[in-house]
Formats: sequence, C-alpha cells, structure tokens
Amino acid sequence: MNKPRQITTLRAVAVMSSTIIGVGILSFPRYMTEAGNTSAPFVALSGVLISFIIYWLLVSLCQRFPQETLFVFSRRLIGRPLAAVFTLAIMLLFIVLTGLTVRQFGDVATTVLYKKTPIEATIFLMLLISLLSSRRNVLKFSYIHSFYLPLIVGSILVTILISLKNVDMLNLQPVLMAPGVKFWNGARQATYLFQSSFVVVLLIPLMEKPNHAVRAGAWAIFMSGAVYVLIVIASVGMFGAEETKLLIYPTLEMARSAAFGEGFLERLDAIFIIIWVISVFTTIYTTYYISAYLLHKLLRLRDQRMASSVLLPVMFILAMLPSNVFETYRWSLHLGNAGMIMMLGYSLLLWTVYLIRRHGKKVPS
Amino acid sequence: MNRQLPRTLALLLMLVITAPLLSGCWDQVEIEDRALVLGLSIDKISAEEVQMEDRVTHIHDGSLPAEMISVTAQIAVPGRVPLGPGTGGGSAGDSKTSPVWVVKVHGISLDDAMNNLQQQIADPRYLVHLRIVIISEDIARGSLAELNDYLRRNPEIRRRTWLLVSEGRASAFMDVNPPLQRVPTLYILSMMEKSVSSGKFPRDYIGTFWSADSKWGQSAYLPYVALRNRDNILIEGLAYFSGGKMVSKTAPIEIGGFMAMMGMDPGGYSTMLHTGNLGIVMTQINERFTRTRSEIRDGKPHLSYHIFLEGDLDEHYSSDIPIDSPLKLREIERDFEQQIQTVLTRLVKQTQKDHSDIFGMGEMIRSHHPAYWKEHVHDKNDWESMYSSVGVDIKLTLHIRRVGLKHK
Repeated sequence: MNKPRQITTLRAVAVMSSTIIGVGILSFPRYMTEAGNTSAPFVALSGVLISFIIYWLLVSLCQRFPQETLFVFSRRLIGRPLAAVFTLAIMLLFIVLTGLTVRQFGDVATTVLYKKTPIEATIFLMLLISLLSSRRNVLKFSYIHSFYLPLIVGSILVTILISLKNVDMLNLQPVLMAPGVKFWNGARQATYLFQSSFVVVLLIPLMEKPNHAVRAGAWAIFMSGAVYVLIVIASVGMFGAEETKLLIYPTLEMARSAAFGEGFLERLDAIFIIIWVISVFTTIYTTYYISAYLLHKLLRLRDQRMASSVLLPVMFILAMLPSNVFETYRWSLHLGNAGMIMMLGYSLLLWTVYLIRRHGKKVPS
Repeated sequence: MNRQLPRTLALLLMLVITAPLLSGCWDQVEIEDRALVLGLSIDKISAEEVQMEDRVTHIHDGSLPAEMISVTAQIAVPGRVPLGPGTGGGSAGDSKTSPVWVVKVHGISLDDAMNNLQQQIADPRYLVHLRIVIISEDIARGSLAELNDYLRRNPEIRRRTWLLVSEGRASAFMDVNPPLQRVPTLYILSMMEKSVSSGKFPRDYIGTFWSADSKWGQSAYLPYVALRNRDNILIEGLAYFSGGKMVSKTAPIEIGGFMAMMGMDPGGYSTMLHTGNLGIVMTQINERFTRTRSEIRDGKPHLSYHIFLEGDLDEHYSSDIPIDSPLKLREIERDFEQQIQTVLTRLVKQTQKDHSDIFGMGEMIRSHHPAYWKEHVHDKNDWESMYSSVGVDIKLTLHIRRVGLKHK
C-alpha cells in the first residue's frame, strides 16, 4: 500500500500472456486451417501482427495518461455520459466473453473428461473460483498470473516439442498463399484471442514504468502468439490440413497422440488437460476481473468485491444460453467481431478527440 | 452484530453450495467395475444371422441399412490381467482363469453393436484402453466411413490405436492363444510395435490412416494380417485403399519396397536374389534413405526417386563360389539394384492401376507445384484418377557394408 506502483513490466507481460493463452488453444488450428490450408501458420502470424497493431493503438494513448485508467481519462476526453456508455459497452462485452469462454471450457470438460458430471457444475465451480480470486486487488491479480504462466507456457511447449518429431514437412507446404478474403477473415479470427490483452489498461496506473506498457504488450503478444503459431505448425504438420479441419479440437488430439519413446510415456493428454484448465482459469479470471472492475467503476462502488459477486449469476446464465457447441462457437465469433469493432472504434475515437483537443489547446496559447 | 449476521449467512450458504460440488466426483467408477475393452474385431455377417438383432437402439429396421456387422470384443477381466510377463502360472485357455472375456454381438453400425454389447454385460464398457481394432477384408472393401466416424467422434479412442485388416474372419484373432503373452490383443499390439521398431512395418496407427485418408494427394493403407496354425499372426502385406475402400494388397516383401520408397528407417527386410555369376545370395537391409524430386513434364506430374540402401550380406546359398573381393560385392549390389528396381516399378504400376497413391506422390505435387495442383485437382478423386498416369523414375543404390564372419 505504501508503494502504489508495484507491477513490474515483467509481471504485466505475465498477466497478458497467461490471459491470452486460454480456451481457444484447442480449436485454434482448425480455424486457421479453414482460412489458409497449409499456410495456416502464416494466417496465425498475420493475426498476431494485427492484434499488436490494435493493442498499440489503444495503449500508446493510455501511456499519455499514466496516472489514470482508460475509464477515467476517457471522461475528460469525450465527456462523462459518452464515456459511461462506452465503458458499459466494454463491460457487457467482457461479461459475455466470460460467459462464452466458460461455456467452451465446460463443453470440452464434459466431452473429454467428465461425461457424467453436469456441465452446470463444472461451469459453476470455474466461475466461483474466478469470483473468489477477483475479490482481490490488482496487485494480487498480477501475482496469481505470474505464478501460473511458467507452468502453462512450459508444458504447452513440451507438448509441442514432442509432437514436432511427428511433423511431416510436406503437410506445411506451400507455406505462402495469395492472401484472399478467407485469409484475412482467418487473420481477423486469430485476433479475437488477443482481445483480452485489454487488461493492460487496468495495470498501467499501477505499473512501475507506465511507459513500458507497449513493450510489455509486445512481449506478451509475441510470446503467446509464438505459442499459438507453434501449435498450428505442430497440428497441421502432424495431421495435414484436411484432417485438421475435421477435428473439433486439433490441439487436444495432438496432445493425445503425443508420446515419449515407444509406450514409455504415453497419454500426456492428462497433463495437458490439467494445464489447459489452469490456462482457462487465468483467462476467465482476467475477463471476470475486468467485468467486475468496470461494474464497480460504473456504479461507483467502494471496490469491485461486491460487483464481482453480483456478476456470477449473470455469467452463469449467459454460459448456459447456447444450446450446443456449434452455437457457442458462432456466438463467440460474433462477439469477437463486435469486440474488434468496439476496441478499434473506441481507440480511434479517443485518439481523434485527443489530437483535436491538444491541437485546440495549442492554438489559443 | 447486525453487520456480522448477513456475512455469516452468506458464508454458510456458500459452504453449503460448495460442499457437494467439491466433495466427490460424478464420474468415479472403480477400476474393477469397468469393462475395459482391449480389442475389437469387426466382421460382416451373412443374411441368415441377421435375425438375431437385439433391438437395443431401434425397433424398426425398415429404413436402416440391411447389412449388419458382427463385433467381437475382448474385455479385460479385472484382477486376472497379469502385470508384466510371467506372473502367475495359470494355464491359459481355461475360461475360468483366462484374463480376457470374449463377447460377440451383432449390430447395424459399430455404435449399435457397442450398445448391444453394453446390454449384455454388467459393467460400463470403456474404450480408453482399446489398442487393436481388426476388421475383416469384407468390411475394408466396403465403405469405412461409418466406422471412421464413430472412432473419430468417440473421445475414448486414441489415434495411436492400431487398425488391422484381416484375411478371413477377424473374430478368429480374438481367440488366439499365443504363448508369449497371456492377453491376445496385447500380443498383437506388441507384435505390431516390434515390427515397427525392427523396420518390418511403417508406423501406421489409425491416426496415420485417417490423415492419409483425408489428404487429397495420398491414399491410405493398413496392415494386412493373417492367421497361421491357429495361433500365429503373419503380417501379410499392405492393404491399400482407393476412394475410402480397400482395393488390393501387396506381398510382404513389397512392404519393404514401400518403406524403401518412403525412406523409412530402420531397414528390416532381407532379400533373396539370384545373381548372374555368384548364385543365390541374401542381403539384409539396415538403413534406407530416399531423395525425391518432383516436376511437371509435358503437363504431367513426374517423380524421381533415388533410394540409398545400406545392408549386409546375410547368406550365400551357392557357397562354393567364393565372394572375397570388393568387385564381387559390387556385382551383388548391381544385380540387387536391377532386380529390386523392377520389383518397385511393379509395385508402383500395380498401385497406379488400382488408383491408390500410398506413396503420397500427390502430396509432393501439391506442396511443390501448388499452381498445377490448384488447376487440375479439385478433390481426392481427381488425384486418384490422375495418379495412374504419373511418370515415376526409380533409381537404387545399395552399399553392402559387412559380410559377417566368413571370409569367402
């Protein structure tokens, strides 16, 4: 408490990376392959670059107000009512995102792990854990993330490395293809996974060096982006493009077929699934935290503890809304679209107002 | 006090809610209450037997396929599966002490049959330990789409399961009684795994089969096995597929030829050949390496294979003629190269006639000549029919490194 700025750049990187690596990891190669066949890794890479541009747009603005969060300085830029509307919209976005993410988690868990456990129980418990942890302050939030990150990245990398020996280079060629509509659609879908890097706006006012926010984001996005690209390379290289399109969770299949030696260490999928559950938790934790934080700002509560308790039933109901796995995925894509338009639109709007105002100030003086 | 009360109540409520959620596991099933299916065999059945359908999943057969399958499952009996070799000395074959229980059911589809099976046994069936699925040649020659769909969809099935095609009835494999292993499917499994590590067979799990089946520029193949003397299992060749159906099979030595074309290590086949001046000799291949080039020649795909082999001289049948100089080894090498080249060319010709590109030549064209591929190939069928007109050059180089302990 005596030192307000305690989040180091490294910790900010950890928060963002462990947030980005989440539930999407299982189905990601399928989306990329549908968009680009053998050039799927390239589609993913373009997605990573685009996400960074979107991130940079928002954060370079935030860096000009290192003392405040986005929700505070936006009031000064575009006025209280409009800022409140946008904050509300972002909050709704993250509430729905949490709901759908936890639903995807529940679907996988019920299909693959616990066939008889009601999906409601898995979802409820996941939300409950997130609720309990998001009652803590941002600093503890960042500690939890940096504790889990090495576990997540390390074990995913091990799985990928084991699978890489089964990669057939022919499956990955031709590497490049002429980017068409499908290609850019795929790249756009890849950026959806990186949207929760938005969490950085909560961290900036508490960062030791706020001007390192862009750098932290670059590290986080490119590191988790590398993980994603590697996953695509491994699963397309292992299964071939056509087979990857058939599988609902190609990454899971990849982990299921990975083995050390001959029958020496098989069934690594158990470890992989455990780690995946942790990575889903860190993702849901972040989106939950953002939602609760925004609610508390909107309602001007003392802190976000009350807000986070209120959100649990809402998210639970949202998670139960889609009637099947196809609907969940369709909704997630729509949400991703809406999110991208929101983030881009909002940061462009703020930038324009900011530039006009600065310009306006200069002229009279 | 008043502020404390709601908090305490909330805390209590939460504890009450979480207690049942955290206390136990919905999916807990003790291991001895599980029917672990180790192996499955699938046969087509004749019309007379069809009457025996159990009607577990449906009542009217009218709109369902008329053909039925018979599934034989090998279920591990808890407590009797020996852990490691040589534990316990019970005589195998006695049904009271046998570590596995063989159950036979009929059904329209595999899932239907599995449900019929469940209706007959008490414990819930688990396919997580399924390692071997044997299908009869009849099934393989029909469409495998239904089978593949069920096995791909089921989260308990792993891609490292073996799928084998059997000569004759597949169910016969569920009754074999090999002396080396007490569980028949585990014997078949270790046999396949060992043939992979000794270079007798490519690593062709069901996942590999599926990937090849999905690829446009490659046709799938499966191990083709047969029973000898009731208990011995022979790997008889590759069953190769075209359009998702098995079309034919190769000879066992052609597996070696196929692996040489693909450059799969280690080498494991010995070849008996008649040389011009030295009589009959046998060589054992230890290492294979293949360099492949693809090009478009006069609007047609053309592939050149250059196969490098390393081997030993194993046996000299006509041992009265001495083999004692590099020149003579060179002679064997030259004769080997010529003869195996004709074997390989024949294999390629045969698969071309059957429109089954087990070598994945199409994949090579797809990755190296994408423009040509995009123009000419629009689905798997296109490539499989085009495959028969592909030009293939095969060149071999054999190096005999060792001759064993005999000088002449």
